[in-house]
Amino acid sequence: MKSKKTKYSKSKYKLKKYRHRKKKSVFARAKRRFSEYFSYWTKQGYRKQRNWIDLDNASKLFPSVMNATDTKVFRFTATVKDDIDPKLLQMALDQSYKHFPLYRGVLRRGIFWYYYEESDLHPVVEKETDYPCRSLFHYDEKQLLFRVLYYRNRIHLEVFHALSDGTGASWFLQLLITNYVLLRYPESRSERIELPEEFQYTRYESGSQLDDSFTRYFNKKKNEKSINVKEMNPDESEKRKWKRVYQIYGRKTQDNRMQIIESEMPAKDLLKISKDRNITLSVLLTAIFIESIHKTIKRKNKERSVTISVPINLRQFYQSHSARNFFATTLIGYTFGQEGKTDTFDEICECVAEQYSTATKVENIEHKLFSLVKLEKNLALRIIIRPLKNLILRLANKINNLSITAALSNMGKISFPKNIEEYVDQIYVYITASRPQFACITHKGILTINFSSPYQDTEIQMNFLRRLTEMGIPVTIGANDVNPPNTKQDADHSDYLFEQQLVQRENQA
Amino acid sequence: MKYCNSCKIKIKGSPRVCPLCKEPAVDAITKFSKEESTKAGTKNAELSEVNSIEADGSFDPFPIVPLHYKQYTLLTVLSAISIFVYVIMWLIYLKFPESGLLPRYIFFALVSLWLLVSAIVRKRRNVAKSILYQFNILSVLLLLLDKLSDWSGWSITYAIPLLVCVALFAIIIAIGFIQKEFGDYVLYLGAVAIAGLIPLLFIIFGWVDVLWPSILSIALSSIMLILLIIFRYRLIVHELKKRLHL
Ligand SMILES: [Zn+2]
Repeated sequence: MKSKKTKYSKSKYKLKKYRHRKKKSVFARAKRRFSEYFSYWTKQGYRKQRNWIDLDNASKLFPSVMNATDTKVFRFTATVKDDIDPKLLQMALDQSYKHFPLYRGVLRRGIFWYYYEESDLHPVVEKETDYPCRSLFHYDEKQLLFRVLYYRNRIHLEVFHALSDGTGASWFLQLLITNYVLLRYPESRSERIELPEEFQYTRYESGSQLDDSFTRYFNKKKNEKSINVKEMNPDESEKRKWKRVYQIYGRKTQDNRMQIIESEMPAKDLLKISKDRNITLSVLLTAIFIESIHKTIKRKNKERSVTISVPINLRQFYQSHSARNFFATTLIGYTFGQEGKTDTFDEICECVAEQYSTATKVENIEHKLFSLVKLEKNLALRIIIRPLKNLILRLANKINNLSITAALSNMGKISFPKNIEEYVDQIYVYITASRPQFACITHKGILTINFSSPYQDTEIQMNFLRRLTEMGIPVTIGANDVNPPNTKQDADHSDYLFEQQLVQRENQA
Repeated sequence: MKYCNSCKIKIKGSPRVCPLCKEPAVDAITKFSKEESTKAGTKNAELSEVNSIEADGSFDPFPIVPLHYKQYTLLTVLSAISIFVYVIMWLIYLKFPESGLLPRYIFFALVSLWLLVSAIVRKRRNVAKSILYQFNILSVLLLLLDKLSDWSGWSITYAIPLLVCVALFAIIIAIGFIQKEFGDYVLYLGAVAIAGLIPLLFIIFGWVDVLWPSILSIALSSIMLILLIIFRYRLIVHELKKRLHL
């Protein structure tokens, strides 16, 4: 009773106050408005000088070459035991965000270059309602370069490639999922968390996270002694000439969304197959990919090269805890229809394996990166204004793409602290692409291979996955709908068509 | 969970066709229940049927997203109106040639409309930038208009100097109420203030007879610049370094 009374009196009081305010509201409001207005010119907070940093060598390309289809956003998906609790996920995100100063950055335009600027923005988890990997950068808007989404039991981390590469983002994912599981499943807290070696503290220090490792290792001025003339000569394999590199074209999706096909399979089965052949998993997957693409080529009689662009994580060669981009790409390929070759799968494997071993030699990588960084520091290029630079980079990218058929990215293994692991199921990763592409990652013995493509056609993906099932590997796939029925009527109509099709099939049989 | 007999592959969720080969997919339960029932008895098959979604975590892995179509409404309406007006004007001109320069003015008006609208739309996220762009576009347009209507100098005598004053006040008033970081605006405000010094040239070269609009513009702009340099020097240097870094 008492509480009711106070409540009542309180509301009355409020009413009184409100009336009182209303009487002289015009004057008061004007006064308030003016004081607000003047505070803008006097308060310190409004003239904050924000910290900013330069983009690293690899990042410089992404804002220039992104477009509506190929947004250069990649996505990590983690599935956990139950449906996601958004409130706890938000808490986990808040905790993780604190440890990732890099992710506080927004991308902005200068006269000559883009740059990252520190922001006070606060990331908010959202339910996934849109298609995967929507654009994360708008030239005139300050927005964070990553987002966290959830759907059923899935947590998605989408990151703009200019901010971070897969390895950098996987650290954020590990922290986010660990925090979420600790909050969602209190049982997991009972044990003391034992951090695996890769959860070193240095990862979460702003100094090492924001490190521009490209400049640190490959800036000629700083590292003059470390290079000698011998290394500057391009290796023989670098000069490998491709014959008419095959380009994949297809029917684009209706509204430029990515076609995603995710697949999962036991890693040990694939590892056994590659061990039997005495090759690595990457080599096996690359060879299958090349073969699958070749199967789709209509005119097979000509000499054609199928080349795959493969990123190499540079952290395995150079000590770095940077969460920013630190990778190089290399081309692995195979030329079909050469004399004296029958283009069997074994031959492709052998050729790919050989290229992998030369491509991952430190000297070869170093040479390429020194010249890339040298180009970036070239004064003539630097003083070109940004809009023009964009055009040049876009053109250069187009030309470079002519020598690439497709791309793949093997993220290797990902793991979580021991007591977290049992709550986390599959991890998926994929990136937007201007041509069919796949990324794969292994977690808890399950390998997921995820295809992304701007096209509606799925022949390459089909060839690839059928090849795996033919080898006796149990594969489960999932896909997003690129041709969804727009209205109820459409849906009913397509249902009707589908049933008719089934009837026809049965009749034929 | 579904199953494709052609690809020999399990498919998550309940798509009607296999995403890979577009052949009809069958229910994985009916496919596997025979094998399972022989192995583990009928109980297992029943269980999996009852709880088919939760048991294998097999719901559609992606939400169904309706097709997005780009919205061209404003753009299409604007261009339709522009073309319509222009055609009508030409018809009038052909019928009554004595109306003289009419189509030229109409063309001019339409171009101005388009330029200003596109500047407003493209730069809507930063009010100071938007005002700077509109000021530039308007100045050029007014100069052209003056030229078109047998140069009498009204554009540089009155229009441009007064436009500078309007732009300066507009920025100062707008950003005070929007209350976002001053760093985003300071350089644009500075740019308008520097543009406000250009009427000095008009006076020096004797292009204008009536001096007060030019003097007003120069005075306001120099006050603005001096205030900016005195009170926001460090911020200006910081912003310049940031945006001009090589
Ligand atoms: Zn199929």
